Amino acid sequence: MASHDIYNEVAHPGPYMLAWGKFKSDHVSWISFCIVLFFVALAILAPIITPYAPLEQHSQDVLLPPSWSSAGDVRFILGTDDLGRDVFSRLVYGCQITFGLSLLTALAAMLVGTALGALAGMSKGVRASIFNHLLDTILSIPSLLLAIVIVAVLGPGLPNTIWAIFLVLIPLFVHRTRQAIQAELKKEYVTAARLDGANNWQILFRSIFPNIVESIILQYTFAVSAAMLDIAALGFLGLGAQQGSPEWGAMLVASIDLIYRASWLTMLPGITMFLCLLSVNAVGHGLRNALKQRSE
Amino acid sequence: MFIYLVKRLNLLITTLFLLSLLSFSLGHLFPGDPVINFTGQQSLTYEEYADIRQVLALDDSYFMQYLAYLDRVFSGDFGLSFTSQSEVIRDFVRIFPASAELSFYALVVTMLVGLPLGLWAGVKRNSLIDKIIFSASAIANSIPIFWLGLLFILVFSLNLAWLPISGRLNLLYDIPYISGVLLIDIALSDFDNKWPIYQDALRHLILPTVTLATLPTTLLIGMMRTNVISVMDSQYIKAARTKGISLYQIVRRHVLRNALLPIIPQFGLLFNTLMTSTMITEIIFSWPGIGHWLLEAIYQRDYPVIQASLLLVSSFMILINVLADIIHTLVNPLVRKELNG
Repeated sequence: MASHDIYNEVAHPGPYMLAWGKFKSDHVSWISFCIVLFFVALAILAPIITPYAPLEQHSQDVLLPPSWSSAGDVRFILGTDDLGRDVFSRLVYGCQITFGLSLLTALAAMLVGTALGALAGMSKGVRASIFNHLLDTILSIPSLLLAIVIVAVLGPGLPNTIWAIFLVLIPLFVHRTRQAIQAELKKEYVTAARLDGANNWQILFRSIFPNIVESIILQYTFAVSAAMLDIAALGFLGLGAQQGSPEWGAMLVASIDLIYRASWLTMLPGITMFLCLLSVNAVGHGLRNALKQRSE
Repeated sequence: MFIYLVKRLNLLITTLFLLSLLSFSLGHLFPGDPVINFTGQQSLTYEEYADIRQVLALDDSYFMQYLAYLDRVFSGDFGLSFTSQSEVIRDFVRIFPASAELSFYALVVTMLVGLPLGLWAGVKRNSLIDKIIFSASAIANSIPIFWLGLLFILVFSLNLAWLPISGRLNLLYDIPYISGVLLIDIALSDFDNKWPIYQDALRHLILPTVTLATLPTTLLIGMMRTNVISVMDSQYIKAARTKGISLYQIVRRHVLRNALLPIIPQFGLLFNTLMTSTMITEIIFSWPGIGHWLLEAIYQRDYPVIQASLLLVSSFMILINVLADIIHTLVNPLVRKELNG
């Protein structure tokens, strides 16, 4: 059918815009994306938003319930803990640690892992085989166990936890990138580029990378959620962020002793973390659907 | 087929070799004297120290040390635990059944809940029930397991007081240690009235099992749903439908079997998730298993135990992964056809 609208140019969105459009048209993904942005904003603006410092103690107001209950105080919106620290401030600062650090750690792991994966994907023969075996070994150990071992060698503490999770996440990206590159290498457009005389370097950067960027981003969302879970789990197990730190896992483990007296100390960090994880996972899921729909 | 088996075994052996290398280097990486880290004997006289140094070949090259280490691993000598001063391998054998028991029940729950729900969601694709099951599993997938455990304790133990908080059995019942699997031990014990003991053990089992099973169940529902959908889209299902076979018959005869097959290689992933969750669950519910043991060792800086448990647990996992792969090849004719060309 001929186009009746001859004056206006017909817009043909590029592949990225197409995927973005599909992503936005799905309400659940779009809302989750907004929630993720909200958490990012919380993490960045933590010092401005919070009324108190995360470690500031109010000895007069110990174990206040959240402000909506009759015993609560509106100065402490979400109540206080056993040392009189404001739960709301701690949750927001915890967002900086658990969520913000996961974003950064996953980003660093993505850069290193993708570079190594490109190296592995373009190489052949013995080198590739050795790489495969190493990867299979590391991937067959669950990430949390590996992180626990690395922490056991380095000693407990938040910086060591971050290192451990960084090291644990790299193989995931290497694996993903390597698989994606090898799948692309078999396709005909790569052969065409090769026939035009492109060398490996040019094929990798000009032809393959633009086509696998999205699957790497997809892997990034999974890595962020895995990193959050691992940071919080190590904090919970007493191997990560130290006691008293506003990290969500450490807050949860500190609440166990008070679970009968002050259940909000267990509920609030858990709900926050659940919401954050859920939205990150939903964004990943939406992205995957969008990419799948586009290719159909 | 034979070449495939050799390849898999090759992978298994290489992986185990790398793991043993890692475990060996841990002995040197951990702070402190390698002699003490490898053997776990802390109060040694000078002569004993020199003897052990000789046995461990610590004055030789790293290669000879590694061979000596392998030799000890194969004879089951992982040294002594710093804290209990008993042999690490004996502790491991004593503690392992508790973890295996818990994981096994969780796996059973996962299968019983995950497979039917995934099948149902996949068969009724895009209907209301599919959306409900799929969103519920996506939501449950995002609940951190340590929070879920605390939530269960808060609701069912503290507020409703239905179920006990921690442990495996009420302290009133002193069941002798025979196999390590509690339900079997109760059967073997010579108590007169066993029914209340069983009841008590089961009540202790409910919360840890459900907590542990949640994450693998959501994964299994997702896998099963994807598989069922891809099978339902295939040509032979369409052919069967045009022949007028009822939906129940199609599902029972064609869909179920073909959708179950791809689960087998993914079983390794499921199992890894289960093992990681087991460690956290054991901490929350004070379940005396491997996870509890390993974490306790880390708190106490019990290096021989950390070293041994890393090697044993990860070897076990790799074994399961490779076994799942091999079994998949054995039972799935499609993969066999690909292999034979």
